[in-house]
Amino acid sequence: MSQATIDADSKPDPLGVGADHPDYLRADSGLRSWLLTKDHKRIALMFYVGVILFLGLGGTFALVLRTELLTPEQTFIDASTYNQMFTLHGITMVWLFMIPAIPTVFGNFVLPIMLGAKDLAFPRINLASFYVYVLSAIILLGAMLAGGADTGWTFYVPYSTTSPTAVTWMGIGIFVNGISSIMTSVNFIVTTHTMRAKGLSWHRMPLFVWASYATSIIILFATPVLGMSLVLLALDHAFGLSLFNPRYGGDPVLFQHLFWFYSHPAVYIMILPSFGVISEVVCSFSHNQPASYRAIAYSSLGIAFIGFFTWGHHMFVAGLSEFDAGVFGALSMFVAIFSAIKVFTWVATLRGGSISFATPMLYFLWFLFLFVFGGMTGVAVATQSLDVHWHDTYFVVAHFHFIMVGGTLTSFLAAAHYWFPKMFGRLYDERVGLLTSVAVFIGFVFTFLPQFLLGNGGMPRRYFTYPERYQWLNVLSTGGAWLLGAGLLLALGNLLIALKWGKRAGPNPWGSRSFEWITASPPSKHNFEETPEIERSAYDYTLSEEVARERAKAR
Amino acid sequence: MISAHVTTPKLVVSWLALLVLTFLSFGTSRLGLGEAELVIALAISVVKTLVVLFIFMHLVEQRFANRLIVILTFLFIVLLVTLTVADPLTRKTFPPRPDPAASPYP
Repeated sequence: MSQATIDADSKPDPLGVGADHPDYLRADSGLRSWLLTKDHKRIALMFYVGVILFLGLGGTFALVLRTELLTPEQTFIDASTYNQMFTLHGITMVWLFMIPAIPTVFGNFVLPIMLGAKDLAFPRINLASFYVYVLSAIILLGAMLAGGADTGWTFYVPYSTTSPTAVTWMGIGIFVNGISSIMTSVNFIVTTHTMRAKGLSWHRMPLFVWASYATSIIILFATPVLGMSLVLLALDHAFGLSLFNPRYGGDPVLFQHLFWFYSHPAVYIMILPSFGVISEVVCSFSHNQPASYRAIAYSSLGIAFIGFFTWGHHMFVAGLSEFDAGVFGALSMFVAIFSAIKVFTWVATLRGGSISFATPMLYFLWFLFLFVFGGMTGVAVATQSLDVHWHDTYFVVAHFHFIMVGGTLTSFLAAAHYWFPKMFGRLYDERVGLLTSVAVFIGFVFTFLPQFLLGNGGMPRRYFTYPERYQWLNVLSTGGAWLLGAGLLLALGNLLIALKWGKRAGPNPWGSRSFEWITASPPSKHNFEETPEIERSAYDYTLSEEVARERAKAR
Repeated sequence: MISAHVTTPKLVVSWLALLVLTFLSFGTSRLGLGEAELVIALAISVVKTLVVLFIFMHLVEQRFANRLIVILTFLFIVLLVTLTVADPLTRKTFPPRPDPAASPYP
């Protein structure tokens, strides 16, 4: 069907599908309508509030840590509080922010709309997953108040089995958190398989759906192993079962095997949804189809698969056999191949596009720098001979912050700005958005770049004091952390102000072809009245906006 | 291919079978069979797992694609166990490094 054959009288609603109904924010009112909602969009917003709160809490812990490290000796907290701080920072950021952030907020909100569905396959399980998340947060916060933990977020035995802190409750909290993740991932997998709109074949789906699907598979396969390991640890801690104690035939390295069998794929649980966001942002803001749709989609599955074969690289100096270390080292480098496929495809997507430099696009550029830098240092630490030198130093801290935090945080912020008009129907202030994004990036680089040098110079991680020669790099890092914190607060402030005073956005302010933009912004309660009929891919930028709307018929 | 409908009598029989197998596994642990004990216990638990999967989780009624998911899950456990067990089994394969403390002045 060419553009000329379209009947002028059957033009789709320029305000977007469902604009004649009250939007999901106004469809029902009262606290009860929020707390008992089965609407995926409202549940996404409740998760949004949760993950932002925990980003704030984890960030506060980080700032306390960095401020303490301003001087070589004690600055303002004592050594055991310091041990608590880095543990609580890790636990809060990993399980209460990074793992749930993108899937539960943006996945929940846009995935069903992208598929042309009225909701996720199991709306009640979706709501339950939110309350299970809240329960896990309550248990973890309770454990923090009732003794905290000083083992590091990795809970390595033998110390974690004898630590006087609330390790058992931390384990239980993380176990419960895993149940919430599994509920969300089952929902995404079933929704993707069974609720796609008419004509929406797998290769027409937005790439964010592919990324969320791959993430859900990892969550489903890996999370039970974490649950099992933490239950064993909690039993050991609470009842002295000595499962990892060599005196009774146990093996402390076994705990590390079990822990990293989950926690290494967990890195991909955090970063794969980011890949999805970045794919959406780069196509929308370069108004171009991806250089290779299949390369991006299948490399997500490739990472999900190969990510399960690499956990041993965390244990090169833990007494792992040389045979296993060789196997794991080589397998770890395979991940770089799939990641490189993605990076090259994103960059190639820019070519020939009509690029607009809005805030999400700027975050894409920061993402690219941080991810490639973090990824390349990842290949370096997967090399055994180098890892022996860098293990447990600030080099590793800098590496995983670059790739995990740099990747997840920049894409979370990209998503927060990109889908802001979709979620709330308003536009944020673009100038402030660009400025805060620059502050976040500079703050981030100043925080973690010096840590590569610190680590290479021999400063171990998790130490309370350090020799004076490391001070100038630590001062730089602390200054960067405060700038990063300020940038994040400003970004949050900008979005909060736009909630009330932002300009009206219209249904598709970025001129995107992805399917979530065919509904009104914000969408109506049920997204669509009838299942849409899709006759194009999510990235058909060769069609004009009007024709693109016509080929994704919906009402 | 196994294909059937799970009915209440089948559920009851399966439950009884699980109970019998539990007693069997407890009983064999009392016989003092040495190394064979572990093998027998594992074999019994595999049978019990299959009963739970096929009858109680209704896998017997499912099409192959859904059974494949369960097979994949098992493969992941195999992966976890293989690479983990490979570690202690190969720890002493390579010649040990010379101990620097043994001859400090070469």
